[in-house]
Amino acid sequence: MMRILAIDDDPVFLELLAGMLRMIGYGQVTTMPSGHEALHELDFSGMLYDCILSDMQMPDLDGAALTAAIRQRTAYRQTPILMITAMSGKNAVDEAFAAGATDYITKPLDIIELRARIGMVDRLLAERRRLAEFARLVGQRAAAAEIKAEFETPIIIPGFERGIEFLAMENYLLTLGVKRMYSTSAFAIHIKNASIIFNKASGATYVQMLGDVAAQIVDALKTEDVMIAYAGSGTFVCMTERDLGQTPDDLEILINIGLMDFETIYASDRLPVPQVRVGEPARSAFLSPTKPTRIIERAIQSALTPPDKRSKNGQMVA
Amino acid sequence: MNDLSPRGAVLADHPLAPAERLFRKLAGERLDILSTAWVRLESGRQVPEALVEIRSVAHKIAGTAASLGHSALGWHATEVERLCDEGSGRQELQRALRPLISGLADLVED
Repeated sequence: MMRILAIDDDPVFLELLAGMLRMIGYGQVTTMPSGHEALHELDFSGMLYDCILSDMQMPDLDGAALTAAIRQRTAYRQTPILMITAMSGKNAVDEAFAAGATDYITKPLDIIELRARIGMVDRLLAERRRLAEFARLVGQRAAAAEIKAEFETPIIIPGFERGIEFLAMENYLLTLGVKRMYSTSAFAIHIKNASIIFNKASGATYVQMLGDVAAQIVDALKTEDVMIAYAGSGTFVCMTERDLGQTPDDLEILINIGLMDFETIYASDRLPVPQVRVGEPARSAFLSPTKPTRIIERAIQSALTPPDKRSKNGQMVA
Repeated sequence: MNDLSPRGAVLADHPLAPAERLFRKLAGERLDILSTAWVRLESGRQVPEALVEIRSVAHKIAGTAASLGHSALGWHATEVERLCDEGSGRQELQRALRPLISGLADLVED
């Protein structure tokens, strides 16, 4: 059964949350009244929690700061963290996603929403357990083969600290109101030779290559306020509410020059150096309601398409 | 929400009954905080401190009351929290506080 740690400074809310979780079949809930006590619990209780639910607005250590602190603990790098927030606290949710939260739940609690969100976490954990069990049963070599079979999967890249989970990015988009949706743009960075490297390299080497590209992207965007996630299939997605200080072409050159520094290492593995293509930014079209995650799809489509084959004005509208 | 009593509160054997009991237990304490803050607003003394306390209590009630069947109380608390966040005027805030304090008092008397 899923072991859940719930944190809120209101004891009534903790009782309510624990009660609702019991109602939907999750009885192993530990509650903590503050972020500091939660961190102490994680560090010294000897219990490994499967999921963390934290209030956003707490005195001393708020939800975003707590999320960042939890993510620094190796055992909790990938643990689903769900933020609990009042509807009015959407701006704070941005910070939580940037700090590494997986999803959010709104107050007052609705049992149907809670069931849906926790159910999603349950399925995510089940999939991770399946992969871990597979690796344990058939050994490292076959585990690498399993990575090969999952080319399209938005895996978590080890060491990619500035990245957030792709699922979290999609969830973030769903939290934006109409106004902010229109001011948000997404662009994608696609590794043009990802599938070639994927077919030639071991699973571990391929993941390492993704880490190299991620590091170059972070370096090239270090002065920009962007969220970055790996979407699978050799493609990263970036999202921002501001105009970038550089054009897609300049960004592409910057990343590719950085990657050329790894030429010798890739040559020793008889692999080509990864080279990227940066797509045009995609925005939501005014007066044309589409599902919020559509801009991600359009951004990826642009990065997959060579510039001479894109539409004339370049910019992708969702 | 299932199994609500005619008054909107949770029945004793319901899984949410412990939360409901605690909500009622803390209602008196929260009523005292809001009443003291009201007096401060009225007198114009320690107003910033009063606003912080009002917002904190309203935020907590807004986050739980409706889920426990106290929809009106939750709505009034949400309104008070919103007015605090928007920096509304004293009179407007006091007007919004009145039904919240009254609702808490009813709960304490139950």
